[in-house]
Amino acid sequence: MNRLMATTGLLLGLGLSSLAQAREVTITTELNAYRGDGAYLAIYLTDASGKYARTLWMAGGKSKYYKHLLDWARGSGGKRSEYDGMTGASVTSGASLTITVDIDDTLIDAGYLVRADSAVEDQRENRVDAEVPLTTQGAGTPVAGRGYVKALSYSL
Amino acid sequence: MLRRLHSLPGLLAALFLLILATSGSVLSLSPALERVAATVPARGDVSVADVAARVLQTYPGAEQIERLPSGAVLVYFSVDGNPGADLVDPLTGARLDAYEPPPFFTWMKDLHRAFLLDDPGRAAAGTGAVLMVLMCFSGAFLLASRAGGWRKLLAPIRGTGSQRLHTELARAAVVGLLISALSGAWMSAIRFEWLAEAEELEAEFPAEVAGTPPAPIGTLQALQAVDLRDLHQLIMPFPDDPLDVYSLRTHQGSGFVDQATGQWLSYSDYGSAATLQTFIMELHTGEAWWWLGLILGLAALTVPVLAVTGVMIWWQRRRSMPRLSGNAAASCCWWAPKPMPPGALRKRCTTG
Repeated sequence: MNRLMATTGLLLGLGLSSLAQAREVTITTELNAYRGDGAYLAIYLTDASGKYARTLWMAGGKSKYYKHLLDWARGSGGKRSEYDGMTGASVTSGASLTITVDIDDTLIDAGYLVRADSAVEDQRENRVDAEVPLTTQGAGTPVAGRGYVKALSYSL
Repeated sequence: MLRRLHSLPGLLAALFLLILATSGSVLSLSPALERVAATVPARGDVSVADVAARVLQTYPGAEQIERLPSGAVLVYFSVDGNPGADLVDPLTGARLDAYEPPPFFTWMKDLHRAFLLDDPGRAAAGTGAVLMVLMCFSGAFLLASRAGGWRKLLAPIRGTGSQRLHTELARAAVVGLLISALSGAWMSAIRFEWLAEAEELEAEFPAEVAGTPPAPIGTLQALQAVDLRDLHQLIMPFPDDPLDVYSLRTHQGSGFVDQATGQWLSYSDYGSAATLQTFIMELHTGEAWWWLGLILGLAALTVPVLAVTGVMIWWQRRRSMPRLSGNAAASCCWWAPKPMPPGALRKRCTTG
């Protein structure tokens, strides 16, 4: 019996510790209703000073337009290796994009920010359309965007 | 054979081509209309630095200045967190009007390039463009053979009313139609990655900036050296961020300008392949030369008439074909060169 308890405890501990290393974060980007084609979005992490850390998601089918997501492009150098396997369709007016990503636990409550750049064909390009600090407390609280983004939020 | 090459695709695509061409000719008005409303200073009169300085006086929080291919100058700004976009006069920086892509033209553009149906519609529009190329070539050959040679192509055309209308209109419009159809088919082929797209060469993102207090925008040398006519887009640095830079795109290339020293931090030409590609696209949209856009639009306007008269001609020809009652296939004739077994003959030729 003791043995079973110990094993269970050990397994639980292992499970928790592996959970503690990377956490599943669900990020929701809701767009305003605007007139025009689908919006290209770059969802990425920056450190407290606004320096690019890593890409979380690129919304938009044609990578040649990613350079219009200017701050993301500047931070990441626009390199394919930064967003390989993390791309999807553009997001149409009024729709929302929900992604689930693994984020290192050490980045939560450490001043990091989730940021969205946005661009629409023949229309304005928004560097830092929306930005929200990645904290345990801030989870679930939507932040309004400046451009096409109506609200950016995440849940841990 | 040649006639079939003309009439079969024509019948198949008549409705498609009618929509494509009509929407295209409506769209061709857009660059010309924008041009009418815009103030377009002559080359050498106004630099990007001049415009930016004037615009910043009216819009202290300007985020982005763009010059549309029509010559109109556009400023993006935010007021209390609300984004706005205005057309401005490049000579004074004064506001002309609020800018919004006109919904009518946006809808028409979607109809023209995708039949409002996204990718399947885009494929159909691309196919339509290819058929249009085929129609132009087969039509030209047909006309040449009718006229008695390529040299007589411009000779007066004989024939019935609808035939003459069809041929004369087509002869006048064929070059314009070919330009539109070829460039359209080419754009579609690139869109569906059948043709490799030439990528614009991009400037490196600057690793280091001066970081000293920013200089007034009107004094920045790199911006002074670019004529307004060459401007595509100028993105301002974030206020209060000394490490941010100006991002400048011209018709020739793009790069980044230091907000303190006013020098290029990096710059790259797009490359001749990408520039040619943009030119072909702007030829199609009429953005390269608004007047050529109007001519192409006028040429496209013949397509509805060509479609209707074409179908009429085809129908008349079909009706006037001799119809023989009780006609039998050649193989059923008793003098058929190859003797057939009697059974087979009976089976195939019992026409009652």
